Amino acid sequence: MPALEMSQDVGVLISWLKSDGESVNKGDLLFEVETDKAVIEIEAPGTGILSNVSASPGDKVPIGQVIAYLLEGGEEIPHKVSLSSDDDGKSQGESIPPVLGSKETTLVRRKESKLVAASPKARRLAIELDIDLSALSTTLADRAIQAKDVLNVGSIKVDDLIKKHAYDTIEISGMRRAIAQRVIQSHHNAPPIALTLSIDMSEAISRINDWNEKQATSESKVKISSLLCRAVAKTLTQHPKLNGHLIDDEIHQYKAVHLGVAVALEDGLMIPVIRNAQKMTMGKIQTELNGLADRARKQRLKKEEIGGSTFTLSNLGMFGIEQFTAILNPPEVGILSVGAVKETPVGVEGKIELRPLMQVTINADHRAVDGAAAAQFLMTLKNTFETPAPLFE
Amino acid sequence: MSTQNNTREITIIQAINEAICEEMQRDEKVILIGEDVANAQGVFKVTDGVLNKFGPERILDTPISEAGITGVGVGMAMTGLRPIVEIMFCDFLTLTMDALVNQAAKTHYMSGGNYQVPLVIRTLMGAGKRAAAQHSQSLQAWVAHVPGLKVMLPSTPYDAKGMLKTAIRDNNPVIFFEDKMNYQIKGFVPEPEEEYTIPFGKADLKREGDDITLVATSSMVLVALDAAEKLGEEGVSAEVIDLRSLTPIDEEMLVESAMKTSRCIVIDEGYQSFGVTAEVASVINEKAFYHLDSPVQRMGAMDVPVPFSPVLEDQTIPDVEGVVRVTKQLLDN
Repeated sequence: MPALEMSQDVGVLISWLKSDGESVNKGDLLFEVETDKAVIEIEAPGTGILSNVSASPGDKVPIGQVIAYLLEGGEEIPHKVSLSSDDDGKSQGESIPPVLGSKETTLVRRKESKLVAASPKARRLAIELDIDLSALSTTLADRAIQAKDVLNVGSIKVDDLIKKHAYDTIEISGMRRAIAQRVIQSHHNAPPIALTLSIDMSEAISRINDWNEKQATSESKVKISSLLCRAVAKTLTQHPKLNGHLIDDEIHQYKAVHLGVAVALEDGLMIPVIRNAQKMTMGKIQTELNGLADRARKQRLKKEEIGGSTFTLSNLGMFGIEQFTAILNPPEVGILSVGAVKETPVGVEGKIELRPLMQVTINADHRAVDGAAAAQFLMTLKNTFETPAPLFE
Repeated sequence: MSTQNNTREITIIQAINEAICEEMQRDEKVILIGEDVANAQGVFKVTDGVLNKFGPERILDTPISEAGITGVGVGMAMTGLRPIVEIMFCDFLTLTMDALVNQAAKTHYMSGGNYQVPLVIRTLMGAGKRAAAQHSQSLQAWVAHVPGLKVMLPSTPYDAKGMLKTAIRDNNPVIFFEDKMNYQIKGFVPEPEEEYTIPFGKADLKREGDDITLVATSSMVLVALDAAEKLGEEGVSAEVIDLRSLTPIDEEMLVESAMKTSRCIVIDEGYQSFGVTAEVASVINEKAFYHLDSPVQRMGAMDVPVPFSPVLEDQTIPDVEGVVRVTKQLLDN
């Protein structure tokens, strides 16, 4: 129903000049409508077939209401499109923006024993801190409760509250959950002892350099990490007390060293295993280590490359960490934490010299291993590093 | 705002003059028309030297007919020029309303994007000049109300220059308000070859504080800063925001500051009722309500014709003492 005058609300349909189903050309007279002032003939706005006529002569029709369609052959009536504000109030304005960053926060009015005057901020803080405003209001004179009053009761600084809302939420991954379970299990069950000593790495480093100079390809060059694996594997064969599992009432001491090596990932860590590390040469260990670390970072480790380790090595030296104590990897009874090699002044025959020292810390399950045994392991390890020739055989 | 390389101290008048000249130099489509802008070089000497530099084809004196001047400006803008139209006093924006509200603001939309109106209206606001009720008003709310018009109000020479350049380069109509009482305020700006512009919708944090936010425009920025200084002496830490643009408005800075301080006063020299201050207060209320410790306060010009009597005139404009007083009321309530 077209609007023909500024003040017009409805038009009275007087008659259809074409009938339902008839072909109509643009400009043909289509129907007559009566306003307050006149009867007017309305022209067809387009060409088509007059369809779905819904107003009859005599009907008072609000302007803008559809009274028929002009369709092309085969065309269907469009889906109902509502332009009236009554049908869809939401489209008439912006929705109310969320008032707080956290979607969980709902501002429900607390049950207050009496009506309390409080600022919006005070009210919000009271809800967050679970403070009863009506109790608070009795301590104040005639003014409204403000944020500072609530904070006094809650004894929380505003900064803490701001921080509370400013965080990113990260879903816990399967790996993170597994790590959490294992470290809790370890922390609860295995009372650890931790012993640290420093190893002079001058000889070992110069040997590595000599070795690497002789290598034709970069893949066959070795790093401190592979020397570590080699030295630890060798030392463990001499100290089987550290190379074992504690399972129920039994300690299993292994002859073979299956060395777990902690590898840091984007979010989490994996411990791939070098099988029979005690039998491997430096070059072989380096190759093995490169492959495992690479597959670990790509999360492409094979099933047989994870688990079943008899001892674990954790090295944070590359981050400059000097000393730390890793958490035991159950059911293993020992884990070695390795720090960075750092030039350190040491006393040598009455003089101070700079030596590249590396701190290592053995963490052992005290249920299975005593301090002396762990200390002896460390002494042998130190000796192995400081007289490193056999490691390169 | 960086001030490290700002090496020259100039007035707002000089800053606006530089912006006009540099833009006329950069783009020959930029022209300037208005009452007494060419031969008289502007009643406040803003267009000093422009006629000599660019000649009578690019800077034109017009009859005293704001409706006519603005209509001409809209037509020029629609047909390829980038006119700057000076309306000597914003009191006479009332005469330009059809050209601005129904033509300039709507042409781009109603032509389906076929026509643009790169028009700048430069106009003067502000009381204090003893110029009586018809030459002292601040009618920025009138134009800020209309979608399609952008509104800028600088308070420093640096901002005036950078903002006017942005206004001239924009392809839509911009109404640029200059406060006549602040024209002689000096400030540092970079050398002319060091080009800079200031974007629409970016407020300027003039002073950081924790206890209250003073949001101010144009002439009221200095009032707010002086009030903040005074409050500081009494141990009250006031944050001052210079809004710079009304439309678009820097909601983000307003809301962030309100959330931090929990209290706000909005100060603008337009009439207080139905004004800029109410709009800004609403933005803060809508977006920061649960962080407010007291109602947002408006401070605008008194709702009376600006009196000719100096004593009375001064009473009608928000001043430092008033801002300090309202701040204390909010903090003590």
